[in-house]
Amino acid sequence: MGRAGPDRPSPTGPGAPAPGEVHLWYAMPAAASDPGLLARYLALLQPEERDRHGKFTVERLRHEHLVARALVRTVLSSYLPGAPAAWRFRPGPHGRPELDPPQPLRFNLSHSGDLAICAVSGGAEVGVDVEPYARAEKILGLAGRVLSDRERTALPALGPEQALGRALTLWTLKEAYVKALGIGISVPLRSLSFSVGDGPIGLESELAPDEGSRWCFEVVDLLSHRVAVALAQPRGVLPKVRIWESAPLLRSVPASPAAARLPR
Amino acid sequence: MEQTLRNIVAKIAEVPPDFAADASFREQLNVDSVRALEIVFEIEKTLAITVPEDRYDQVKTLNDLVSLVASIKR
Repeated sequence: MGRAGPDRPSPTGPGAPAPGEVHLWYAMPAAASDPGLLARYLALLQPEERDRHGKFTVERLRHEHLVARALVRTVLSSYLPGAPAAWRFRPGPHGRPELDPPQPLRFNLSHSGDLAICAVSGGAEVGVDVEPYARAEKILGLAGRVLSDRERTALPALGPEQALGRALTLWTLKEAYVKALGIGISVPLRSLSFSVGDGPIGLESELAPDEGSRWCFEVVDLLSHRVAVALAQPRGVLPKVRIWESAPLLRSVPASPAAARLPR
Repeated sequence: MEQTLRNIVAKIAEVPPDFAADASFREQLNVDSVRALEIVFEIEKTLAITVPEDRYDQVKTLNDLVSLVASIKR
């Protein structure tokens, strides 16, 4: 810490997310190809992260993992006083990585091929999921296992194109929610029912009826991907989502309006 | 049975079928949540069994999957 250069904490970070606000930072793994840059990313990792990195057998996955870890580390350093290499993580109660020692921020990471996304909140639990449009058909094919009866019966009236989009939206919302809970996919996804319309997105959970009043959600379209965010805030509030594009250790800029839009 | 399960995982994860039986599905074999559900569907269809949802999280590797399916088939 304290040395000059791009590893230093950013003096011009965005400031901690306000209550009800989620910051999304995305990186494109394919854009990070310079061997020198990748060596610097590797140097950011703690030994256990480097071990995991070495175990990937598919080169593309190893690369995506590396860029995603560099993204998390550099993003944290844009909010908190610490160099990207300084952050340490430990598994939370259900295995989700948390900062060690705890910090007044929550983060969650999702990556899906072309995009790695890190969501940051000012302390409320947060979850994010990203899926490419190209996966919508596959996800619609899983509807019987994933969607609630109410969600499923609403699909035919939408028409083929819209049904694909709705399936993608519902899947990413469910994933973002269970990731915010930090409990993996052992939650029966069919027991969760999201209402997606013009107003705030609503959740009804068969197994935990109070949950719907504890969470708010938003969906964003980003470079041919759908991104859903779950934030532990009272229902009826639409989280304010701010988005940055990041090339870890090189630059971060607010996302261009052409790259990101709200689909609703 | 292990070979059947291995082939299903390899096909859906789009990886060569000679992966290690203790390789992490999520981190080493490209198996995210969508693919995990696809694998479950394919296994249920191929072996005519039902995999209970509350047991999905037990499966981190091919070894785990073989044990789970064996316990269901018994």
